[in-house]
Amino acid sequence: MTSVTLKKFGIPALILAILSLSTGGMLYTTKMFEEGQLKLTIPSEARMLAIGVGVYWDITCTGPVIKIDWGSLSPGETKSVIVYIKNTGNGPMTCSIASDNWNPSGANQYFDLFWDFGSTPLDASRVRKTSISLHVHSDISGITNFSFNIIITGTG
Amino acid sequence: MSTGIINEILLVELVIFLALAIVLLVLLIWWLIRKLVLVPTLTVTTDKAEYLRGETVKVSGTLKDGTTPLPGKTVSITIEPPVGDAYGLPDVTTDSNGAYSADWVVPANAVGGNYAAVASAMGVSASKAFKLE
Repeated sequence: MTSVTLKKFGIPALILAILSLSTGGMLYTTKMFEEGQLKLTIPSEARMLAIGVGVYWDITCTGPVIKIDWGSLSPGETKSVIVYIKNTGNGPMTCSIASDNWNPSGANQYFDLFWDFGSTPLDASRVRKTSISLHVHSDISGITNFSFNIIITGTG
Repeated sequence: MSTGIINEILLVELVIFLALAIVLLVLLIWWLIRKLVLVPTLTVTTDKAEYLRGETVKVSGTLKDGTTPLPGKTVSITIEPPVGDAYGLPDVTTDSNGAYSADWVVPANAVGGNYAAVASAMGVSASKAFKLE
């Protein structure tokens, strides 16, 4: 989680490193100067809400996805996780992804949430391997940590 | 018998007693760990190595803790094709021998290639490859 490197950053970086390590790197936004650029790493998580489908960590669909810990994100960075979407209904379904309940409100303007599920309907009892990605805009500012809901909806 | 000899005998008896106590304690701890910590072993196999469309793939296996069967446990099975969406089978339950089985009829439109039957239970997984002509 902690992405501080001490190379070239001296005592201030050392203090930040100790501070960040002492909290597991989760509670503080870690700031450092890297070749003149201010770099932010932002702790985050997303709660998963699935409607009409199941979202799992494994292909056998035994571990439901309750939340996604994106870890610490840097401006301009895209992080992805692999999940498995299962059609738990009786007929083909198309699926969509959305987000809401951003905290802090307005944080969503700095992020793009997308996936590669595609538009092909998912037949009943079928399981599709899907990548869900979160991109952080490079001009993000004023966000020290954030959370939001991911809503995956299956429509038959 | 002198007091010195008696003391030596008592000392030897004390050492033997302590050694036995330590052995018993170690055995007790080992037994408790075995009782409290399950180490499940899941196996999975198919009745054949190659299938044709329309045939039934019989998936079976066992769930055990060492040599002890784990009955009444849910096993989730998925058939993973070489490309495209996987086929989720209904969950099955292990019997008194820790055994489970499930059938999957290969659909007429299934793509050919290398498949895998993947089973999961109690946090462990196992898979068995098979081929569709």
